[in-house]
Amino acid sequence: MGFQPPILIEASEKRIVRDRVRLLLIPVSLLTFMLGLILIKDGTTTLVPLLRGTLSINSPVSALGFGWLFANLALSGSPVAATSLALLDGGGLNPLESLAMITGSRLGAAFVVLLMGFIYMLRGHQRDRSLSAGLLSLLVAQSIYLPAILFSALLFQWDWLLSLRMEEGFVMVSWLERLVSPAAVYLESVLPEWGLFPAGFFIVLGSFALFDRGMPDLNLDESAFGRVNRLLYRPLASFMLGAIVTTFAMSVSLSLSLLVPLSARGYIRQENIIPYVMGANITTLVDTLLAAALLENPIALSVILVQMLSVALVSLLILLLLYRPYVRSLSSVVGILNGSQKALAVYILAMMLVPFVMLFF
Amino acid sequence: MEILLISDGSRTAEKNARILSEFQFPESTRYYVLEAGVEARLRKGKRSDISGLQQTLERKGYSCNMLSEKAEGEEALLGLVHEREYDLVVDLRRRKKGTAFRFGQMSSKLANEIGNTLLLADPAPESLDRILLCSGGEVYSEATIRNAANWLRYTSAEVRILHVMSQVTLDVAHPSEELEIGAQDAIEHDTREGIHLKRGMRWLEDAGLDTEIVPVLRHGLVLEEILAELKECDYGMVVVGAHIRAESRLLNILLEDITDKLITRVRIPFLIARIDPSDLEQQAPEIQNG
Repeated sequence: MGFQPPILIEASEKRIVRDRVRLLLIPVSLLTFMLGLILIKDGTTTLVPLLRGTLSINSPVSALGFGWLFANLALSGSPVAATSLALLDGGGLNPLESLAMITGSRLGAAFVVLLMGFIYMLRGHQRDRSLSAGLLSLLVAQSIYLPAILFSALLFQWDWLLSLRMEEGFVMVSWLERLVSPAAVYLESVLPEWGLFPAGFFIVLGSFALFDRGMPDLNLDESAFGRVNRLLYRPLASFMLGAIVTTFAMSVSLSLSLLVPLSARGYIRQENIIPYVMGANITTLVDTLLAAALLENPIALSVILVQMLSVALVSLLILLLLYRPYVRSLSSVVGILNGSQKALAVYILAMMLVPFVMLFF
Repeated sequence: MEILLISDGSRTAEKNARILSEFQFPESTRYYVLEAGVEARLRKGKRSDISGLQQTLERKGYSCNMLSEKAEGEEALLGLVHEREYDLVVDLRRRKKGTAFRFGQMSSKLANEIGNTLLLADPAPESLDRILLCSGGEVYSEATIRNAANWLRYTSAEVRILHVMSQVTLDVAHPSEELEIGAQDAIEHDTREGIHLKRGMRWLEDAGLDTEIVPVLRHGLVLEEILAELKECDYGMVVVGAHIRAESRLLNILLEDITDKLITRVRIPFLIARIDPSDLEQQAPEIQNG
């Protein structure tokens, strides 16, 4: 082993310590996540009149619009999806409405990525074409999640799906609950009843930020994943890769950004990115699955499992039967939107207005 | 040079043999004729007579050998094709159309699994004036151009090298100008595609092609853009790279093979340029650094 200057050794030691501290953030984020969910659940009672009455969230369509708008405002989908399950657990939403709200949260999350890119572009940094990946990602989410709701509604007809039970002795959940209970009791004693839901939501939002910070850096470089590049050329393989990578990355946009090092110029073929995002759209719901497990609510668990199953079914049907026409259609829409900044602005505006309109259904 | 001709004794195969006169192969070239699927044709009450093809070849002055063995079924055909190291295999038979809903490979077993360079002659054009050489811009594709150059030098047709860019930027901060420019600009600005096209043109010239060589750069989905190019210009033949052969049925289903889809969709002769993996290993450093 060669000589290493003391300053370098010190720096690498510091990095190791920093990485270990970062890893500690993961259990902390899990605890805060649990705390946030409890507060949302307990705050739901006061929220029901507001949800059902003032906001008239009393149908799957309005729940979808609510989730979508909420994710647009929160600039993130996962906390909204987790909130949806907490609302279900607290009796604020029924299973189908909760599922629709989760769908809305995914659409909102995909939209936020595009919106950020659009703002970046308007500030003169890039051209319309730079938004293609974000656009494709949003179009895939819209074209998969919306028909998946119909599948889910059909699956809900099977009673056994709503009677799934988690294994008794889910020790970790009860431990977590026991650990955060004092904090929950304290916050519930100092906060007004109407403040529990927003406080819970911000704590959930913060827990995701903590989790992101705690996650070790995931890198797909060509040396370690030499064959990944070639795998991406095969739709089914790309689909599976998207699903696997996103299981760990949890966010579709983060999962996509992991592909950047695989391409020297930061480009990816449209034919490759579409199945990747389709796969990612299924496993990005893993954190919501975790929320269902933490809530220990079998119906919440069923909702998210049905959601994942429906998204997977719709994706596989497209991949196996309609892949080429599907890719062609998405590519044409992206071409139209990229062709004119006006068209793009109208689309973005429409995507902001549609969830609003949905609230009235 | 040794060329194997595959015929089922049909008039189509006889007619498709005219594609050979579009290539000025050396006089020393030896032609072998292998009969395939004759019994199947006879069972269906169809004509199967190889003598017409034999006479056509002899009239053209080709040195022709009729192989005594006959192949029934694609597996047997593949076995007989691989018995000898032919430089080129020419399938003169009518090409079957693929079905859109079949998963995995749609073209013939021969087209998918043959180890030699294969010319699917059906339907042979009246004259071969323009050839489309499809290139993917990777190491495999560059080796394909080198292989194809060895065959295209025997024709007098104009060759267009097509590269399709279907990429989008993964990150909004990445520059996207290269995703919009045409072939000439790409060559002038030495973009990755420009360098690839320039090298492809040089290899064709070095191989002895003295016809016009035109670089074409299109933007959009790969399969759709190749089909659009074929529709817009009158091509007599398409040159594509060898498929990655599937080792298992599952892998076959996983493969998305542009070549396979093109073969089953487009009624035009195809030259499927195969590359020897060992050649590729030798060429790779040069290609990658070039």
